[in-house]
Amino acid sequence: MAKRVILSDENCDGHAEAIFHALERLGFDALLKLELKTFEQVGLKQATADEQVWRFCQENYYLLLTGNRTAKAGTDSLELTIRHLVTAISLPVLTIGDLKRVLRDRKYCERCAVRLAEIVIDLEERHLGVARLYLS
Amino acid sequence: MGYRNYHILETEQGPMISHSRVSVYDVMLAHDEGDDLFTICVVYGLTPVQTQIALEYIEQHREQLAQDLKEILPKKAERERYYRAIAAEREKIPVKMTPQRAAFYALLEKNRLLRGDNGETGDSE
Repeated sequence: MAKRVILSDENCDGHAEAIFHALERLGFDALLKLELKTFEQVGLKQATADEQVWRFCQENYYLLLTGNRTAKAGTDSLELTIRHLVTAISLPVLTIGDLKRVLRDRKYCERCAVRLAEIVIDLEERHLGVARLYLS
Repeated sequence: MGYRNYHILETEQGPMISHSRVSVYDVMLAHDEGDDLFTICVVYGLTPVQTQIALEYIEQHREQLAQDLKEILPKKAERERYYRAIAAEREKIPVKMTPQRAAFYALLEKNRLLRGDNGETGDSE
């Protein structure tokens, strides 16, 4: 299996680190060859628009790990972007259902880590073309 | 790092905090749940100034934001149900047992036995 890059959205770098720490604790990191990257590391600017982030991830085959943002469905929203642009081979956006719980509840964080691992291992067979997947 | 002119951006998605991808609605929900400024900073990856500016905006526009949330939250919940249903269907697709997948399931089972039914460690906050 090739190395799989998870790109943490800029508002959830700490959460992504916590989930990766749980993956390591559970022993999944070595098996799945996961690499965590931040916006800064891949050259994305702060506050980059949703559509640009989504396209960037699709082009580079990165899995975007993001929070469950509360917002109107404006024309530049991630939700509208993925619904309009997703194809049968698009990568899903991985969504943390509850950002706060990842940092406060170790069990919840581990559930997110296990789910992320399951998604990665079954990605090609089950999850391509699904616009969004919740981690927990 | 120089001074950044943090402010609230009025967008089609509603008010957003500049230099971030965080909505004011999320800060308001956290604040209304009792989270203090520093907790909000940590949870949403914001600076104290960004959070303070959002809280000031909330104070000035609370009525409108609350009205918006009455429409947004049910749609958000509906969206979540929709995607979770699709994910549940996808889980039914059979997958080929590869050596890597076998190793993954073995590790998953080992964690379940060691840590409890869900493969989790026993302690939380």
